[in-house]
Amino acid sequence: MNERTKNFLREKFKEYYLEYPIQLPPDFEHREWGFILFDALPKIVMRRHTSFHSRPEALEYLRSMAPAHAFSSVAYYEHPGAGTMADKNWLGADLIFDLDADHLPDAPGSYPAMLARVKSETMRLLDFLTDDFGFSEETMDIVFSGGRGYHVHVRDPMVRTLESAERREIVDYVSGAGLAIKPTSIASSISEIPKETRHGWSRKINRWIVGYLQALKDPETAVNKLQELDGIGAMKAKKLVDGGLLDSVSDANIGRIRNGEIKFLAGVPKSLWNRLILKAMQEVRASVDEPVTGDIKRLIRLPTSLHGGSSLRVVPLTLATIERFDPLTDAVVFSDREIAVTADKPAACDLRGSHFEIAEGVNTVPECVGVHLMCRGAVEYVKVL
Amino acid sequence: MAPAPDSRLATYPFTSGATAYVRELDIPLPDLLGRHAYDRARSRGMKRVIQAIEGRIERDYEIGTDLELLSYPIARMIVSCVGDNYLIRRYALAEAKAVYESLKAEPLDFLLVMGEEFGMRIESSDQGLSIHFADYVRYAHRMRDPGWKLVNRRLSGGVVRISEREFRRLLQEAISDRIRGGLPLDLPPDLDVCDALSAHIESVRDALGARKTEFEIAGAADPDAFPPCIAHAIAMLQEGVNLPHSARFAATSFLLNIGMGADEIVRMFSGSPDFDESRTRYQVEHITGREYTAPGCDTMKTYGNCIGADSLCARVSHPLNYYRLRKRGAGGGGGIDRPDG
Repeated sequence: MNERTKNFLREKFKEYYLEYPIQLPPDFEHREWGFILFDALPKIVMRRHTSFHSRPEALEYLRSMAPAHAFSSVAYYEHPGAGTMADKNWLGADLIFDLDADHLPDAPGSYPAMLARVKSETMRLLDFLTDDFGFSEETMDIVFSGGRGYHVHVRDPMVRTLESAERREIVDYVSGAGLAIKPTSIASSISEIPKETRHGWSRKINRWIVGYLQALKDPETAVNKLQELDGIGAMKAKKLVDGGLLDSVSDANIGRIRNGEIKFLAGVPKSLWNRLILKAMQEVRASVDEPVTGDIKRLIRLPTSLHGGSSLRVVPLTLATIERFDPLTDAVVFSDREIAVTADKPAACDLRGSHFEIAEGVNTVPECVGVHLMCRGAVEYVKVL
Repeated sequence: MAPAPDSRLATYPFTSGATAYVRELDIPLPDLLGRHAYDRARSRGMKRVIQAIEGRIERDYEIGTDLELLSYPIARMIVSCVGDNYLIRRYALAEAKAVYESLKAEPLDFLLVMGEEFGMRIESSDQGLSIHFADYVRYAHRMRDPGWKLVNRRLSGGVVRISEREFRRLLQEAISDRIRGGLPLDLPPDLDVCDALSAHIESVRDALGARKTEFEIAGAADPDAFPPCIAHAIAMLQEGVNLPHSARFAATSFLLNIGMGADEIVRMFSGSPDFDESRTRYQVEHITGREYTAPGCDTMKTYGNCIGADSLCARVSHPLNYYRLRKRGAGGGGGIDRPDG
């Protein structure tokens, strides 16, 4: 990133901070702030131990410095601006979840597919938070991170003083770590499955299994659907269907299956139940980045700021809006006005529903695409057209 | 004159009710420390601590509620004057265990009041007991049985179902925290509390010394005397090498056994470049909360953690004995004890 590009980006970010509504987190006066400025990039220099006493003071900083990245602490401190962590005097911290493509075991390669996958993980997490943990929507801030995922900030006072180890128990819960009902192997003996009437993981697993079984409508689709389970191929699937599986899991029997009973279905092999439980665990669990939740002094990206590595806005969402949210359109804040950029090598991106290919040399692109690629370090600024 | 106290206050001297009652008695601290009227409270306070060192605090029903109640702050002052991390842990644990025994006999209503004392949001209904998950994990995360893990509980709408027995166990943890909290006390500087209690403190020191020679090693930690296996594990941790749990456990329990506190141990491990304080602290405190003895040489060998054994190692069967001998022999060809039995 050359100086011209840095100056251009700083000006664009400045415009953003002047024009867009900026939200400060609750009780921002008691949080530590940290910023990474364009000046030192690509070196990452975090200016931390900053604090603000008023909203105008914070806005003035953002507008005059136009930082590439803006963070505030998840923690509340008595003296947030103190130069050492010990002097700050920790008072509590929001409960934070970070869902990021980098931490998914099987993230797809393309950026749009990756974002879609992380979104579905986020939906699972939100289900745990609202249903099992009983957090109301007012106490949660859900945001697109501006990068490769989502953040959830739980600001419920009930969880503020939880320590790291206690927060890790919550991570273990949403990720299903240490779940005692997990079968040790496909061949494990099993006399019942988790019941629908028991709250928590049991209910979630039971509901997933029942939903799956109810989707096994006719023999043909059933043979295909069964192959979604690990270790079941066409032969095994056909054998299960021919062996009367569909009759076993008919509506007449679903009530007892909800109750965890499976012994009466002598024709269904044990291994299928074990496979279903394992699959249900995979489909229910939410993969969150554990160290983030456990870190009670972490700095986290400011909602409504811009992400200097993508130029995307850190967009606040709700349980209702996240479903329809498309980051590659809805988090784009810059214009379609054309600018010239130059690239050392070809690059590509998807933005606002279009695909853009950049050739080596000078290219004309919409400003939003140019800014995005400059932030990613793929192109340098030439001029406004 | 103060009203006759509820004898329960003496069983639960750490509660706000007990504290308020003691405050109402309005006994000046110099009186409590010096007047004959409180002789029995002082010696009972000492006994509490000595019983804790020896294993189990027994209630004294003979001396009456007021004196029994007053012996609790005295015991805390004695523990604070001795100022030993091991003693603090052991004393808090013994007090909490004694309380747990008493709680076993208490009706549910009383337990609920006690839960309130600790700010636990707990409700009782026909369905049983349910507690807010934040109050649950605060204490349950330390329990080793997987049945306590939140992921294995019936959690819905933010509350966890628990049994009465489990509730008592959570209360024990909360009580242990409260008793340990604030220790060592900030004693008033203008009044020499420790001088006034010196005879009692001496007896406690003796008991502690006897216990330590039995199980532990007194004095400041001396890294030069660490056995090679432990020195190696610590060096690896400081370099940020991801050590197997068995080696981390060995190093941590060893350091605890030679009298280091959790903070000191976390600091010792903090040289590591990817040092994660909260994670390290969690691991150290997990081990600190229990009375573990460091693994012996056989166990170290079994897990492949016996590294760099030297000639002294051949004569001991426990890393703690190595340390004990080395420390004693520092500066010369120290005498070699027989291997521990």
